[in-house]
Amino acid sequence: MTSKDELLSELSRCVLEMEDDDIADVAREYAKNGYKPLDGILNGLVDGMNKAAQLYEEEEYFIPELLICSDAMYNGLDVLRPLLSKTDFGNGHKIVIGVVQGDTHDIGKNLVKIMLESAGYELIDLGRDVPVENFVKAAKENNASVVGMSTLMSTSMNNMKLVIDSLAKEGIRDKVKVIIGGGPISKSFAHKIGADGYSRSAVEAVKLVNQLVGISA
Amino acid sequence: MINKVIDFKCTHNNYDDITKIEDMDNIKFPEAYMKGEEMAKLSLKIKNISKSPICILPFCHTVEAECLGAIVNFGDAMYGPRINEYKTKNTKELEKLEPIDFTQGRIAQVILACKNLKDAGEFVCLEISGPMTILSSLIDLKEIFKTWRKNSENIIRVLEFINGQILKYADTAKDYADIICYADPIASYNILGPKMSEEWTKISTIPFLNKLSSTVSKSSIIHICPKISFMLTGLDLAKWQNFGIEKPMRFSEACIKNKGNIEMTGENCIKNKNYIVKKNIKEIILN
Repeated sequence: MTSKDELLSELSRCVLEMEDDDIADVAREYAKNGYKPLDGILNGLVDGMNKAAQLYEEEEYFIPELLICSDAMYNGLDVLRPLLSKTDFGNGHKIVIGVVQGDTHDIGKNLVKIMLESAGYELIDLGRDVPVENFVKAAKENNASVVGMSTLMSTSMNNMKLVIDSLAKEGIRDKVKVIIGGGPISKSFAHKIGADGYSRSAVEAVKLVNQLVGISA
Repeated sequence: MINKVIDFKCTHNNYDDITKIEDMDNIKFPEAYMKGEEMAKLSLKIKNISKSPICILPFCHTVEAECLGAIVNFGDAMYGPRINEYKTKNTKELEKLEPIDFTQGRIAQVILACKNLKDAGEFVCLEISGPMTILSSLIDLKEIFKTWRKNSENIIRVLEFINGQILKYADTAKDYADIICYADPIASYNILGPKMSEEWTKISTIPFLNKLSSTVSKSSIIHICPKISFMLTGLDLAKWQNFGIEKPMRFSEACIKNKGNIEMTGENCIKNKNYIVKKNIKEIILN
């Protein structure tokens, strides 16, 4: 019987080294041995993803590597997540995320989603080219704590303000934190439109959201 | 070698110019993105409002992908054409793509618009998309990266096909385009990273540009988007060479005036109206 530590290490390595085909078997062996699924997720899969994110910050890994690492992580999660009880994993916060209307560039949004999920948030991903009203509807329906929006196009930036205004009109602005990001976005733009924060990167987005919802890392 | 790559920051958005046009009375959307006559009108309006010497077509990077099966949302004056739905979820399916018929559909209308503008005495710049940008409209990019890593032959076969189609596009349109602008923003260094961008450039970009040059150099000057040209020179796969010009002028004007003198350039964005070349225009020479 392989030790728990060895299997955790192997889960982490599989994520970090993009072994998306092999990881499910490792996760199944981990589960078969009766080890706690939550530990497998946090100290195996998420550990590997955090290491991958660190390499991305250091410009050792780039977008192709990070996306394949995330695929490996999700393959492991497909095995271990069903074994959790409902309250085991996750911090209880829901985040609505999407690329605003007019834009279909979603690489950045997908990276942010991966990192926020790794950090225990539940993501409602609206995809790309998302109309203003869909952000608001999803925030209401899901009782979201955070709305995250991105765009790479300056002509779509104004939609972010429209979402914030709509949240206020619906009477839920004070219940929802809004974070934004993307190429033409800046801290000053975030401040100008009344967003709660701007994030330059996927890793920073996690720290920002933790801070806004009051979770210590 | 890798540290010399500069990632050119793209600051120009087509729709910035479109949204500045006040008199839209005789331009309808989304027809302006779909019909040759309307495209030509819009391109001319943009040229006039930006005081540019060139009419640029098309207004998006979706034309080639649409021909290959992507579903497009055509949008309006504020938000132009963008991809609504991928062609497939499976990279193996990409090996079954059908050749493009350049006499049909929106691509034929783009070529018609170029012809109309050229016949009217305008200088025309045709933008063609590179294969990574086209692929990112046909399938989730993650699938490309995964397959590149595990079964690159699959992607290489698809690349050969797509590059062949882009070459035919350029060949079909070359007599109506003074400038053929090659842009593949998804294949840029900051997205792919050093390893994949070098592999991709050697396997796809360089051979394609060589063939493009042989195909169009008698009729058109090739402009390479600086996201790609800076990568080529930064990876030591190409070099810059100065070509003297008579007086300072806008970069796009220098491109037109030096068609026939130089084959390929790409020191700045062709849409950057503020970029002035003073004594030289830089030719890019592939190694």
